Amino acid sequence: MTEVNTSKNSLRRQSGLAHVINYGQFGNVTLNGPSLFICERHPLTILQLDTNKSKTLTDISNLLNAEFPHTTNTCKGDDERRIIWLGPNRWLIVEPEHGCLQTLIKNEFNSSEVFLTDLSHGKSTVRLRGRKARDVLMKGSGIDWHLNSFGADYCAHTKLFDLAATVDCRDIDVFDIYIARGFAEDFWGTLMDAAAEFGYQVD
Amino acid sequence: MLIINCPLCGPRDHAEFTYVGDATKNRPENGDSSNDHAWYDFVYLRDNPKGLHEELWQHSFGCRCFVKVLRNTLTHEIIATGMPKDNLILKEKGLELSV
Repeated sequence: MTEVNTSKNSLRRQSGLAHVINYGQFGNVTLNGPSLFICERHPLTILQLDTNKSKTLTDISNLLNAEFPHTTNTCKGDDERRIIWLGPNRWLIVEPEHGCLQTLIKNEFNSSEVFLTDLSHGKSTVRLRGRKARDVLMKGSGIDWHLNSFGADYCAHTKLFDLAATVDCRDIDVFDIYIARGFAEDFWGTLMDAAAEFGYQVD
Repeated sequence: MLIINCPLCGPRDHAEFTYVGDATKNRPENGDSSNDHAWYDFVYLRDNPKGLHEELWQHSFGCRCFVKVLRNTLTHEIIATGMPKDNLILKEKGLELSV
């Protein structure tokens, strides 16, 4: 019988894009350098939180020392802890993986008040950065990506290259794209094709 | 290509939505057997109107909310959208359901 390796390294979360990412510069890179920079954000803790009790939400907000966005299609926070509006009474909490966020909330709140779904294993996150980032997004979805409609701290849940995606505008030309892990390789290939005409660098 | 204006997310391609059904049907008050005909009507009977029709769609690739859509089944024009509790016919003065 094969011995099961239970060392800490064997349990480390594996990237859904590990087999397809090639690092370097590709496509139509000019003397000015690439117009796009693409990388995977990994590993992340991605937690969906549902609650319809405003007091509970305030308590969670205090516990996490983070503000929840209440305006539709907006986000708050930074790379350390990002909170994305998903729908009425539903948010996505994203942070670099520490392994304690879910436990922290579960220990403090009744499971009938707060519903947590760990999506860390089910999502892949790609960061798209550069002056042509909006042009790439325009190829994949029909929503209005203009800066006036979709600026920093806005988010959209939409079909991007025919796949369900959450797009978080981190800054004017920086976007985090959350995609289902099972479709991540397909998405990555399509993204590379869309970015090729602008010249891109995979970091 | 239809553009549906989700009350929460804004204008989106109809491919992001899933058609749910007729929004004009009201659920009967209770489930006892004296209401069988009302339940049969609610579950199975649907009109096939030519003209304006109130429909429910779900924004399944977006906020996942149900959206009420007033659509012309003849021209596919989407006249108004709102939350499920909204009465779109009243909102659009001068328009009436043609059944």
